[in-house]
Amino acid sequence: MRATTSRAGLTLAAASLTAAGLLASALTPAPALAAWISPAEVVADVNELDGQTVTMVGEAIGDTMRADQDHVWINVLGDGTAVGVYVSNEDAAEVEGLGDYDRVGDRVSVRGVVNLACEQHGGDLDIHAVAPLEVLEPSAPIEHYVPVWEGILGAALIVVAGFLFRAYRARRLGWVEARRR
Amino acid sequence: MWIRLRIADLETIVHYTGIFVAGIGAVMVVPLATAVLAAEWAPAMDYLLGIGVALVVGLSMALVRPAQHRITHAHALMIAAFSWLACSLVAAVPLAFSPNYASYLDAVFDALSGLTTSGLTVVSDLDHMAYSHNMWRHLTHLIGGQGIIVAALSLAIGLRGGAFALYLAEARDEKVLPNVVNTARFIWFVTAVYVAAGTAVLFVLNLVRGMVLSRAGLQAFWMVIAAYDTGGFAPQSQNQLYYHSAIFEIVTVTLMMAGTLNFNLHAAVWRGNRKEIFRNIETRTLAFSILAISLIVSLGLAATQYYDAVPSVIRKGVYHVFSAHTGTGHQTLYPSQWAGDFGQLAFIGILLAMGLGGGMSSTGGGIKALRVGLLFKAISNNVREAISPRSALVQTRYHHIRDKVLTPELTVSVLIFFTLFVLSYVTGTIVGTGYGSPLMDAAFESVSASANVGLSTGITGPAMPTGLKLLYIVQMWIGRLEFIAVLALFGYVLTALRPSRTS
Repeated sequence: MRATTSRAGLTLAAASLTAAGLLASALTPAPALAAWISPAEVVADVNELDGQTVTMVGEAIGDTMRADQDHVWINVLGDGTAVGVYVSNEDAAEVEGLGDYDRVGDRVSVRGVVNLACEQHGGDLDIHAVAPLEVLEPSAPIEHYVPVWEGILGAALIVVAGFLFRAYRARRLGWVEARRR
Repeated sequence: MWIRLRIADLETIVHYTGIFVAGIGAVMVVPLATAVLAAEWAPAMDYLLGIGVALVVGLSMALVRPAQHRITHAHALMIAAFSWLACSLVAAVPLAFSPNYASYLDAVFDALSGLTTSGLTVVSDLDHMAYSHNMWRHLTHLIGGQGIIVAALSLAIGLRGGAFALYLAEARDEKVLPNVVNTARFIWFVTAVYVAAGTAVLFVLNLVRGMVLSRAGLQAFWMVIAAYDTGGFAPQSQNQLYYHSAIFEIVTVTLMMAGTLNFNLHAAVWRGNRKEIFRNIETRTLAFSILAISLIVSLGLAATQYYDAVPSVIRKGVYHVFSAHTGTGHQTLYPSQWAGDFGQLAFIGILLAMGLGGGMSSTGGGIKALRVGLLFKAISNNVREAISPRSALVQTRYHHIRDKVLTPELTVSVLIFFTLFVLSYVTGTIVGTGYGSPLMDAAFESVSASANVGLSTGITGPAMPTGLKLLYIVQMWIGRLEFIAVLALFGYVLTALRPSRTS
């Protein structure tokens, strides 16, 4: 009986500890390193974030542009706003797919220092990466619906325009003749 | 008393507007070809439809018989005002079918902003826009920068008899060459030289920086058009900031300056008269104003905690003074930074630069440097008159291509334009604040729209209220044509709607 009580007590204690642990983990804020923000949030909260190291997640877009011998610029888009990331050639090596009309670019995680007015880059709002850019999701093609009806209607209208142009030229000749008379 | 338009007058207006609308359809072949080359089949369909609509509408209007007599000054004003609106409505058709515009109104906003070389935009997800749509947006800058009517004149299509009146109605001051068709062709020649040279430089820069061939070429071409035509559109949502390059900024600022100079000045320099640059009242005013405002903005930035270093003062301060004063609107700041991080004094400096504007008969907007220079001359003239003996004849001269005398009529004309621009700026500000925008943000956006600049504090966007979209559309349209043509159109429409006294 005592043994049973003792076992039940242990079970209860273990359950309480587990529950307390779960509660504590739910209430404790996640470590800053694990949290990430979007480029739009970087721009919106730039006064508070200036000089801080953040993890920003977004879509790599456009072009990889050489900044200097050892660094490139990669622009990262999220929530409608893009932010330039100044990153070393090695740290940018993993990024291959860049977003444009045909593709969604690599979804990348950038760990870097936010600069509201970067002294090195003429006052640009940018991020200087301090770790390799990590690709969370690779680039993927975008499928576009082709509205064939628009093309057919457009072609038909162009044919009509051809007839109108002939009529216009004929009328114009008539007007010129009338003016001469 | 307003002259009531007769049916024959309306027929003339409809006829010539039709020619311009059909011309817009013809230019859409360029984005169509871009779509085909880039295998963008959905936009290709948009442009087939756009071409069809523009040609059918335009040619149907052109079939209306114009009046037998020459185009009068009144006709020319009506045609200019009506054409710019009609061309924008048609240019918006392919854009309206793209997923980057939420509505036809949004597409019209961008088409008119492009044609008037304003550069304010309500596009969404610009970074995923098709090359062909970007090509069309930037081509609207090229067509509108030189002028829709100038484009037609240079091809000498159907505009004989009144061509000069039409040329003037598009907010030009005088002919560059004795023949108006040759003047139009000269404007396009100057444009071609700058666009070709600028594109070559930026293309090489883009290649060196690692862009792929096609993107290097297209991005260079678009940014050059937007800078030279003082437009302000860009193919990426970060605008000029996307490129993170001081050299890119230097090249585009040079093009902005070339674009904002009077075509008459370009012609004088072309003829070998380089001294004209230093003697001309307009270039002197522009140089003085840019210097003074740069000083104001630099002092303002130095007072901020962010942009107090010399490279920042130049690349954020002086760069934006040029962008604002020339009426371009390219920016290397985020819209939300204007009102906060930039500092109030620098903000006011940029506002002033936008309001004053660039050169007459150029691609720039705003009050214009010539008028500002003449206004100061008129003030000086009045002061001199006040301190001179009553019998003294006080006369003020100025140099603009040739030596001229400042007449009372010219002074009145300058004051009228000055007042109209200021009224437009103030009206837009009041309406903007009525929609809940902070006063200074509303003023910035209003001046940007009326002066066809394109810098934005973030008010302009797809989520902007419809009323504000309509307001800025009117401001951009009226500002590009410098009020008189559009006000005359409103006047004639009101007269037509009023019952006739004789009936």
